[in-house]
Amino acid sequence: MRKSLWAKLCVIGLLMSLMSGCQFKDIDKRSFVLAIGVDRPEDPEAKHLYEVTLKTGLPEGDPTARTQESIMITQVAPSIPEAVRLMKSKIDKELDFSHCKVVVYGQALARENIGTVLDWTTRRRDLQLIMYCAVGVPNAKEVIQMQPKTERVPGNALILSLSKDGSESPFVHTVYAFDLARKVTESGIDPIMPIVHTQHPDMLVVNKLALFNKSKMVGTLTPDETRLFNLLATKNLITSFRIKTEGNAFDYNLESSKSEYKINNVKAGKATVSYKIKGAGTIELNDEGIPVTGPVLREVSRAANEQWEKDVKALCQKLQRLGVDPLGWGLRYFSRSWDNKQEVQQWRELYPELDFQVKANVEMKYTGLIR
Amino acid sequence: MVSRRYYYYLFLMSAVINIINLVPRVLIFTRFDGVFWSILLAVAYGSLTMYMFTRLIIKFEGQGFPEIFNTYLPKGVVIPLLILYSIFWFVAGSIMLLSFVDITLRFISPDISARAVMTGFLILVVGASRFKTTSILYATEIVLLLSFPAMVFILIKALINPAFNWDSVLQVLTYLWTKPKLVTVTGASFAFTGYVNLAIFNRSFNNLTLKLRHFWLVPVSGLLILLVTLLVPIGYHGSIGVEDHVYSWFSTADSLRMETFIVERVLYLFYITYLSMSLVMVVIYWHVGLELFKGCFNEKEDKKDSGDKETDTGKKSRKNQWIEAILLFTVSASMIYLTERINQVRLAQAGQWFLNLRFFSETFLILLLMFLVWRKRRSARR
Amino acid sequence: MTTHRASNAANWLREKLTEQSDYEEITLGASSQIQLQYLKSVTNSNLVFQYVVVPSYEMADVEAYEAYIATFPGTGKADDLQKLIEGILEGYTLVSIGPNSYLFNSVKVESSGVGEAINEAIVQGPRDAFSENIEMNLNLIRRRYQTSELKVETMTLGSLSRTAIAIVYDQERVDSSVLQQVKDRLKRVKIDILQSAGELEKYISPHRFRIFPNMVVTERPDRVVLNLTEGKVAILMDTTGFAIIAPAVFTDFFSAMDDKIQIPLVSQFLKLIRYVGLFITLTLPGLYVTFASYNPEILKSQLVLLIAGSRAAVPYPSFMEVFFMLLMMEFLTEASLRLPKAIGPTATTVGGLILGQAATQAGLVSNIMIILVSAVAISNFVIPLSMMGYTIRVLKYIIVLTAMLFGVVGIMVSVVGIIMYLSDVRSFGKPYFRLTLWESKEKVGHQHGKS
Repeated sequence: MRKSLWAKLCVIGLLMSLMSGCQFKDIDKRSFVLAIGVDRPEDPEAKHLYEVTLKTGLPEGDPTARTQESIMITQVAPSIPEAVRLMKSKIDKELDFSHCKVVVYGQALARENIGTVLDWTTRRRDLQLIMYCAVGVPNAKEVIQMQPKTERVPGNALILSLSKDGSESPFVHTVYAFDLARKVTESGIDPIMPIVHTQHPDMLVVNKLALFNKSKMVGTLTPDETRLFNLLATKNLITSFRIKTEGNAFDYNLESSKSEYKINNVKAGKATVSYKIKGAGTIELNDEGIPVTGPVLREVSRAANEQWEKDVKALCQKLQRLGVDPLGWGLRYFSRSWDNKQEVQQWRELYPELDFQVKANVEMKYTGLIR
Repeated sequence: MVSRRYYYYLFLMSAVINIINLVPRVLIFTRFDGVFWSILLAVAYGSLTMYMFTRLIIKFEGQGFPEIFNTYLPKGVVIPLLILYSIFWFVAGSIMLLSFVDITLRFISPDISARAVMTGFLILVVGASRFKTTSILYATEIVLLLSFPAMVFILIKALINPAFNWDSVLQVLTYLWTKPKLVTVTGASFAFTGYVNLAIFNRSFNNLTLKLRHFWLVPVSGLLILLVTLLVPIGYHGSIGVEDHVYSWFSTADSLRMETFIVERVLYLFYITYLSMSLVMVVIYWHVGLELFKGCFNEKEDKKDSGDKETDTGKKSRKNQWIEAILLFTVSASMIYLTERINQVRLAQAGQWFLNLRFFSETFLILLLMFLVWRKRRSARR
Repeated sequence: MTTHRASNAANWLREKLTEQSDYEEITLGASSQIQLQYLKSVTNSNLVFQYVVVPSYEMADVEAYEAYIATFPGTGKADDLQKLIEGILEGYTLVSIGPNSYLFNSVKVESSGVGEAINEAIVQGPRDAFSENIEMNLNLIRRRYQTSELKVETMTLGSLSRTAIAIVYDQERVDSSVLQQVKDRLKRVKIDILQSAGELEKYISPHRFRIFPNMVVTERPDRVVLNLTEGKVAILMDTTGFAIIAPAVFTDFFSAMDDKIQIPLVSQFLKLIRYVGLFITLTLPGLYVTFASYNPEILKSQLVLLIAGSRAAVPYPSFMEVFFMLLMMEFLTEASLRLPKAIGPTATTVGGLILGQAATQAGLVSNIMIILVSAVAISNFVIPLSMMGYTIRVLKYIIVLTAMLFGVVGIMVSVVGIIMYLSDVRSFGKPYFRLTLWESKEKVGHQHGKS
């Protein structure tokens, strides 16, 4: 039985000789791409080309020095893969996309078509499906190149502000690549992406939402609308709202929130989207400083409800005017309709005439630590 | 001889493994064309065949196909039959192996050569498929048990994620009233196919009984597994977009994040769990293939050569060693050849062909077993 | 009446113990009226000689002698057979004088020669270890296992060394097929010199390629006793302080004798810790190679940049780094093992502190590598039985090798491979590695060899 041991050793030796130096690439010979920006060049001559910007991390020899630098590379080429190939000759290390967490679509490109880039990001095997997607204003390159002071790890500022891992801003709606891709293909729901715009000298602001009609950006939501959108789209949004009552103004902090909707299709040719929004809040600021008693709390709740009902309705109507469906009303309609052949046509007719009903029920529960 | 719980592991293993490649593809492909009724039919058919097959083979206590065939069938029939089924089992393992090489190249190591990955897998599979039958059952249990927490974690993670779109799932559910398709039924019933491995593994059981008290779990878990197989990818990639993904479950796992772990992408957890399980599954398939093939050469005298004498000398006869060596070498060589030749589309086609063939050959097996049981009874009476 | 009973006691005892190799019977006195029966291994023969044998020659009168014995402190009449056998097993001597029989207290208490367990030290619980004298070792076992079912069979091995071997088992519980195999294999051993239990273990193991220890080699009598109750066979050997227990299962190597003492929850936790340690020490070096060279995408990006940063100055590929450091660690453990106690700490200080610190500063290895190597070394020592520890020390290189060739795929393939291999190992015909969680409920009857 000695023989079998030798046989095994031989096999191992054979393998090693087969594969020595084959695909063995050390971590320090790779350059990790952390964010990609894709844009149309500003040069009007080159409007059909792509301008690709990569942010790659540069590992430091001394891990105690926490300021790690990053390198930016930009390349204009007829297609993204072509740009990547060209960029490989600009850098001494192998480009590794497996840690890329953000893809920024330039505003100009987003207004045109995101389909090609999206195809590339979902098709390419080393790009994750959990990348964060965003629209860059004024363009992708500037967003990628911005280096905020708080950034400790390259690209991390962008990652943290687009995700909910760092700051939990109510103005951010996190969009992953798989989410974007499915909303482009799915009928009855439209994609959205947060907008990142640069504020010089060193700040990235994420507080708006880009609305897409499938693969073309058709409008934006203001920060206030974005916050309301998030209220409708997510559960337990962490935010505060400001309301005015007679002669006084309050700020309240939302402790919990929940919104649900139904599509009532009572009559043929007419449908209503009725929202029910529930919430509980705490007074955070009282402008005039009058004591907050029970009646005042109720008054604030009533005012908050009115405010929500008015604002949400306006938001829905804006979406309807733009002809987009980011909240998936159409999909909801399809999923509740057993008439699979006709439903798309039906919805197409129903959509422009949609009615919106909003029933808000936000309750002020606490006055804070003082009355 | 082993406890009867191992019988259910054989079922469970192949049921959870179907998520990898072939079954979700055919289910998703026909998601608007009668998938739900097909699943129900497949569950009914699958549990019924499983029940019947097991009831029949229990009659031959502690015997595998080679022994049974050699006793009750003329020699002219036995050898072609055994070789045919041996090839069948080898093909089953090979398709799984090829898919996993493809998946590895796609998701894990894009730079490594396909041949190298295949070689790595083959070293394990070839080595392990020569082990004792009971050993493979023990290993199955341990691997299954180690993988189980990871699978449950991934499933729960997938279902409670707010990004899971239930509207898309419901949209697909509204296509309930469509006519079932045969191709989907054959595909979905693959989830139940673990029981056929009793063809050899029956050698290890001598007290196998089927109690309805336990058996109802089979259709229920089969149904749940099939529904999860179909619906979770739809929740993540949309009712339409789901078709774009070649390996829909791997893409689904890639859509999940573990925020608070050193590994962020669930994809890798999913990959290593399913890699270990499918390696064991391939070992099971090839072991059955190997033993069936060996059955052509061995008459009754040494029927349990590598079976279950729990002695640790592990000595096999020279003849058997040669047969094993030649067969495994041929199969491995052709696998390495195939890895370079086959492409994604061909593999999918071959897989579909295999699923359809399997469906009918299993039905044939049950008829054959009925005949054999009848012969056994007659010879016993005489 | 009494005559009948007393000779009955002596005869009964003879019948009961005659197969025991340490049973001895002496007839004294001119008219052979006095008869002594005892078990050599537990009886202090000095006492017997001085107070029983010598006076029998000094006193001419048998009656006087009987009176002398009967009044000897600690001596009682042997009229209950149950008490009789218990007494004998404890170390009493049965003195039969004519019709009457007495139990003479001649218990051998071995305290001076019994050392403390060094290799399998535990926090609480018995500290006795086997000595290098087989008689004493039998005494240690008998004292903990006082039943007549405990059988001792002796033989000698080694044509030159003539080493005494004792096969110890519980007649009632032992698995007969295992016992037969043990005997057969011992009979087949043909050697000149036999000096240690590990050596014997090697000779009676099946001659095929193996990595995992097939039998437990222990220095603790309490472990032997525990295993005897589980129906296993122990092999004791003269001139060595270790016993062999067969058959062994994988989990045996991960149980310390502490587990019996601790609160169940704590002992479960400790067991879990050992398996986690096993996993870490096996896979960590391989994982480092994978993460540093093949699949850096698996980790979080911050961690990847950290590893990349700490590796930036290292001039050779990661697997060289791993092999280099692992080898250093092996040298360190081996060196501190062999060195005299006085110099040992110096070696560890020089190796651990200076080597580690200087190597990172010189940029020869990364910081993370140092942490990793220490983690690997420490977790390796968590395994209670050193035989398994050695095996694991070797096995991790296989995983590093496969990681070097195939990355994470290689690690998974080798882990599954190890599981499959372990499942195929049999120790004396018993499955070595399998779950027995539900076994007790299902009653497949593996106690008596038909599993």
